[in-house]
Amino acid sequence: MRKIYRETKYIRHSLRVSRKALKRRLRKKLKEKVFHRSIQGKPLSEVRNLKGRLSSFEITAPIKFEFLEHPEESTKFINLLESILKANRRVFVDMSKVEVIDHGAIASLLSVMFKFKSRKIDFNGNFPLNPEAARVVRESGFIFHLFENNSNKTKYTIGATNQMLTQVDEKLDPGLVDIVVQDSSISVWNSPQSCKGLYRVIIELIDNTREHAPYKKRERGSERWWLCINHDKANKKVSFVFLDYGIGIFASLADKPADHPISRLAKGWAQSFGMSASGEHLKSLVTTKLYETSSSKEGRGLGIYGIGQTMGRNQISNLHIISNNAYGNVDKKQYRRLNTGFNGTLFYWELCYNNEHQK
Amino acid sequence: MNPTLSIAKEFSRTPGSRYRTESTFSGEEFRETCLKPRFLQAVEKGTKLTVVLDGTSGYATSFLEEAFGGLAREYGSEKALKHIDIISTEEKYLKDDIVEYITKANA
Repeated sequence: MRKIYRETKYIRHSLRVSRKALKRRLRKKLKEKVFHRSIQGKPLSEVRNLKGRLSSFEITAPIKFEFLEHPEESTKFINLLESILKANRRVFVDMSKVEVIDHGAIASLLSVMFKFKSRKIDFNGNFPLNPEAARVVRESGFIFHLFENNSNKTKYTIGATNQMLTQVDEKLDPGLVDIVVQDSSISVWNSPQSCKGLYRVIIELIDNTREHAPYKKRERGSERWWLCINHDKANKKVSFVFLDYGIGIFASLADKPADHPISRLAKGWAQSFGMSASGEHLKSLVTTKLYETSSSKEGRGLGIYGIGQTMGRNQISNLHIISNNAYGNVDKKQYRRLNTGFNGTLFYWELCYNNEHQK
Repeated sequence: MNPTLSIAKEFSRTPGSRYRTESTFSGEEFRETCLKPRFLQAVEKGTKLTVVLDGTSGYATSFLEEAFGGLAREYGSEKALKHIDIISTEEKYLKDDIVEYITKANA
């Protein structure tokens, strides 16, 4: 007789394994029983939906899904989605409890779901039960953009209220940026105006994504960017969300050589505020002109400072920046560290009636 | 009278970012196709090239740095400052920015 059938320790082990297997089988049986009872008399479409939901990882969106007001909760949710994506698992996004949602949240959710789509991983979800939140999601064109066939959406429709542009691996077309600026100015001032600050911000951000966002330095231009434009003609305001899921501003700075000025600056930050003072780091980037060499390339370090300058010149309003674990409301000069890190960079700003413009 | 180079009229109304590989109407393209030949002509004649920034949709810092800072890196800051004059009535601060890019280009 074999040893595993006669020795006590092996018999105990086999009994433990079989007991666990029995428990699992019973649990599964009970789950199936409950599910089958719950679908009795329901239409086939609903049954299919429920079955899909049962086999997916279900996550619930935060009640206040706002990147600007509640960045921590929103970031946590997006990070969880990203981890499900990494595990190649199907997901069901339950948005039913969402009461407030902003365009930053919609853009970030869209960009992650887009990754599910491009990796051919099944996903599903529902709309918020709150009518106002559901309206914001519907009017943002979330579903339309998500299921659009073209992965590079660089056609801007003049006059449309909510639009999203996205691009990867292609040359920047400044003409497209010009159209966005012109149309935005019509929404704010009723006629086309020259908004040089807005033009600069969009070009700088796209440039930054190409230059700094990719995970691997060799893959320049391989990181997708999203620009979400929302026209609020009644309040003479256009809001913008720019998003990329690159490594984020601070993670990209960590790649710099030790003798690089930003590394010296970071050393200073660490001495003054401790390593966790990311809010202060962000403040320094917005307000400090670096202009030094970066990896033997000269004249860099001006992008974020240049964006901060447009805010100071009243060319844009309400600038917010979220990157890695730093949050900055540049308008109110509030900078702080986030407890939950955001893998990427999100910029939010507005073009308002009182902003500087030229005919 | 000094020769004039209007970016909006002679290059593009919508300048892009730094390199040709990154965007159309880049700073690199502007420097190589417009600024450098006209700058060399001005140097040869001992005059100043007046670059007019007005009339465009705006400028990214990377465009300006690559165009003017790049020129200074090639020919030296002193020579660039001696033979280039900037006119920017719509965005007055750009003149100071460009002078800074030129000065710091090979500092």
